[in-house]
Amino acid sequence: MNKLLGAFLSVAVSSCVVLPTLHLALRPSRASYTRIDDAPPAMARELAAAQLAAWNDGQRDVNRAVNPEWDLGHHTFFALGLTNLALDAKPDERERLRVEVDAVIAEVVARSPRHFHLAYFDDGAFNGRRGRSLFLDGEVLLMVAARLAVWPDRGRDAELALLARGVVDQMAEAPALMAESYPNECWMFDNTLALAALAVTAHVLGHPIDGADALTRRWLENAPRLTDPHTGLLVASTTWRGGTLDGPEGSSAFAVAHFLELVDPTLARDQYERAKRQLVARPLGFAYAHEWPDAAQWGHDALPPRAGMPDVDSGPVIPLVHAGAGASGMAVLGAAAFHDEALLAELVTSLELTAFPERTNGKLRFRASNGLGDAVLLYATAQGPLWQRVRAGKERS
Amino acid sequence: MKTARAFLVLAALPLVALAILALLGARDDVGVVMTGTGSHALLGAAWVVCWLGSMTLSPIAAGAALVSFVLLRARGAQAAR
Repeated sequence: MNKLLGAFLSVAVSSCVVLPTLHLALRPSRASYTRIDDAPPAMARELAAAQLAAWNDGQRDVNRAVNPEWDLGHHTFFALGLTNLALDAKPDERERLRVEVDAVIAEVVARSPRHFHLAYFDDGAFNGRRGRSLFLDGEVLLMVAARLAVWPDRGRDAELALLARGVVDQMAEAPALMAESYPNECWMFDNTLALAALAVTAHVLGHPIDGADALTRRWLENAPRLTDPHTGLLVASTTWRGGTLDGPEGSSAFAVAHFLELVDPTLARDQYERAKRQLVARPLGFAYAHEWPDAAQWGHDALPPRAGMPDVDSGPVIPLVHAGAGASGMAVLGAAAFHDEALLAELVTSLELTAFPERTNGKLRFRASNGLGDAVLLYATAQGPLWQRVRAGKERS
Repeated sequence: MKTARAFLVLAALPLVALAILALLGARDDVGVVMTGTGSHALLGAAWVVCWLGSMTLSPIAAGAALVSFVLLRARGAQAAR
């Protein structure tokens, strides 16, 4: 009995020392995940090196059979990550990155819309007159606008204006100013990304597209109606008329807050703080994000229609702790964008433990991730310079 | 002493399993677990379990070995007095 008690005591003492200090052994240096002296973090450079090598090798590392949307997300975050890195790069490196970004955009626009959507893209007709997906058109607009913000080309202004015109028309005609990405399905991620894309477009052209400012103003006025009253977070998806389909989701909320930084910084900060409060868990120096807020907050009210249903966006949700892979990846973007260094440190420490980083010859990839996940982490760690440039332009005008 | 040795064996187990899995190339199959597709999901899952075990349970077991060794020495010294 004494022996058993001794063994139990040994495990208890050891656990009390090891568990709270484990994160110290795994935490990467500050320079690897945050900008120091205006240089991109080492993690961004290593992720970019791996992804550029994979891209030029013809690898896309997204399982289109599981979700073709990942393919577009991979292209978008990869291109945006590279444009941000280019702003810090020397002229020859910057030119090399331009070639890569152009190749990424060219590959997207060469595909049919169907290529990047799940099969139900063809189930029924769009309510919008254009019959286009904002998921695709918004991301193309953002990539082209970001490209022209870093490498100006007056000869392409008309092309950019045409893309932006389409996005404005699509959103403006929707009753809740939420354009569709699938028939009668409008995503907050896509709509706020589109608003950010319009802000970058205005920066590139030197003036907003006709109707874009009015659309943004009306959208912000309507935002309370798109907000879940229990959490104060914007819902993840709605019908064309604005009825909630998916309530707040971690795989959407952090990115939405980041996109809103270019639209309404106060609302953006508020959404980030709420998402952090509602969705982030921070045990023992690690951190991860839940896909959904605690259902207890709804009390006797009905939960959103698709509450608690993991889908292709949420990625796998780890049972018991309810850690969402998609939500945790996007939380890295949120923490980096809002300069929340303490949370960012805990999130990247969790990546070291659970995402299986593989570092070889200055290249970094996460074994537990895929092309999209790695591209999100590239963008999360590289972002900053582009948004800063657009915001500085806004303040000057 | 037996307890300390048992803890040391326990600490080494996940590491040994991880080394064997590495030889089998299981590390390459971790991504398969995340997407839920592919024929090597089991091997990838085994890697995930052993990795987490070696990162958390191994240090705890090693620490427990140290603590039980110290307890044993303390008990020995007390008995000698």
